[in-house]
Amino acid sequence: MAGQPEWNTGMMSLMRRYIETQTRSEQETVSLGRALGQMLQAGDVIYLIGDLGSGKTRLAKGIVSAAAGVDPDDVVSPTFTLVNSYQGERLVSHADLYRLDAGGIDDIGLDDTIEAGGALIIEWAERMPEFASDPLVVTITSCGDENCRKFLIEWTADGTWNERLTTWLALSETDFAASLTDRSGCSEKPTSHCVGE
Amino acid sequence: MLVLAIETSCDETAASVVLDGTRILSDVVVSQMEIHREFGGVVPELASRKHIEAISLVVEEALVRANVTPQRIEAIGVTRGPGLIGCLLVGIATAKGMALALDIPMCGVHHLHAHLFAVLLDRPDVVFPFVGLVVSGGHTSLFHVKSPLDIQLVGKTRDDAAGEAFDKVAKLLGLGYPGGPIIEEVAQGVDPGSVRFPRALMEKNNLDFSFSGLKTAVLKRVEGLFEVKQRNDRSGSFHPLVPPVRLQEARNEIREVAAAFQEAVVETLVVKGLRCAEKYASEKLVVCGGVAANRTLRRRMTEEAARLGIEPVFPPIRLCTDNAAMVAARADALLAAGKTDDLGFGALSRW
Repeated sequence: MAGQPEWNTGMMSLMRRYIETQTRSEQETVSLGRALGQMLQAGDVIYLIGDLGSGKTRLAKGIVSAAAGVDPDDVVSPTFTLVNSYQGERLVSHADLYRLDAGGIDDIGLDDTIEAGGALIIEWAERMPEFASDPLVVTITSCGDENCRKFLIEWTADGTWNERLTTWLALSETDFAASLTDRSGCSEKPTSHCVGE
Repeated sequence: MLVLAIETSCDETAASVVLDGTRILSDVVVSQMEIHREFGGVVPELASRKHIEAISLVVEEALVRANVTPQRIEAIGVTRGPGLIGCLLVGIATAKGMALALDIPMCGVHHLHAHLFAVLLDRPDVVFPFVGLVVSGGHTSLFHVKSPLDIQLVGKTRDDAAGEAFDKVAKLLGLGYPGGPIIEEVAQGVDPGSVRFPRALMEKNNLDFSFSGLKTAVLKRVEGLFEVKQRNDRSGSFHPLVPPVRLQEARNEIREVAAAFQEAVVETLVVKGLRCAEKYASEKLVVCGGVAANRTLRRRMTEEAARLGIEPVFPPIRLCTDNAAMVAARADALLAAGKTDDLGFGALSRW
């Protein structure tokens, strides 16, 4: 994973694509996570980036429960244990680099999950951005009131995520994302499924 | 039965010799907390290495203090999980080596079950069944302990552990680490006044916990109070919202926030703990784990429990924080029931 040639990352960064969407409650955040979790495949890495209290663990709850087939209530903060692995229908590891000293990141066995055919969700991933060559990067920010959260979901056009995200987007316009567009009360104009390159 | 137990699930390297699951002959704990404080975080490889450096000396010291030779040990207990995998493996490998060399039985112990059994080392009058609340940096769980071999998890945190919330709030208030004792000191004697934070999942039949919303509410309050935003301005950095201060110089607003936060956590633990004891008709509520050292929790739990005719039982603080005597107590019960593990068993980070 780490050891990829540098030109690879550089070239792909020229063709980044993104979706922006908002949620208005913790339940909606979990639903968004479940939608992402349903497209998870072996070897995938998702970076979750956002401040303390932004909702990273909440989103991970949805992703992990859908991808591994476990109860969302069983998906808890990995801050203390550093990595929680869930072996359901698929192996999914949920890591949190918050407590880690930079020198310790290589030692928590993240590669093991990938080698075992699992997928990885990493909170505070900005501490080791070079870990994966083709991660889905989700940046969470607050948008106005206490319950509103904005999600910037980024991937590279020629990476493994493009087809899945494009398909999801196409389908969700009438289904999932549509329920996200009809929001009022956010201080900023909802920007659901804005697609950009 | 003379049991040697080993505990290495997190920051403490510990060994203990306990007779018949009740009499502590020795209880040795070496903490790595200073090392982690110095680095400002956990370095897993370093944590494992520190356990490796300490484990032989700690085990030897436990035997010497108990005044027994290794040959007199009849069985070995060791924490199998949950915890940091690299750390757990150090204790497990040591236990396996000794069990093999001494040709005695061995068993892996659930760390939280060990916390529940700590009470038996101090209060032999606590009888089964009882209800126990384990509340620490990594866990917030309610158990119905029907018998030594029938321990049911009946409530747990759905996100952050209570101790984790203390640590994170202390950090964003610029008060340092570890959060529990610091928040308690800053909040000492402070009336939170009009500051009040939400309590989560308080519906009548809910025994689960959630502290992440509380953490976010504190964050929003402090942002508003000081008109600052969290500054994630450097890759992977997380700054306190308020410049770090010496505790005695903490501003009044900070003290009020700390007091209101502590009150929210304490009230949640008190209400759910007692609700659980009532539900399972338990006369005693055992409260253990590192957060059980919090004096406000002890006071409030005692007051509220008295109204309901329930007795809260807090093991001594020495037995609330991670130690190996509690592992020995738990192992003794398992071994007495014929539960042993062979040399093939591994660590479980989640259990």
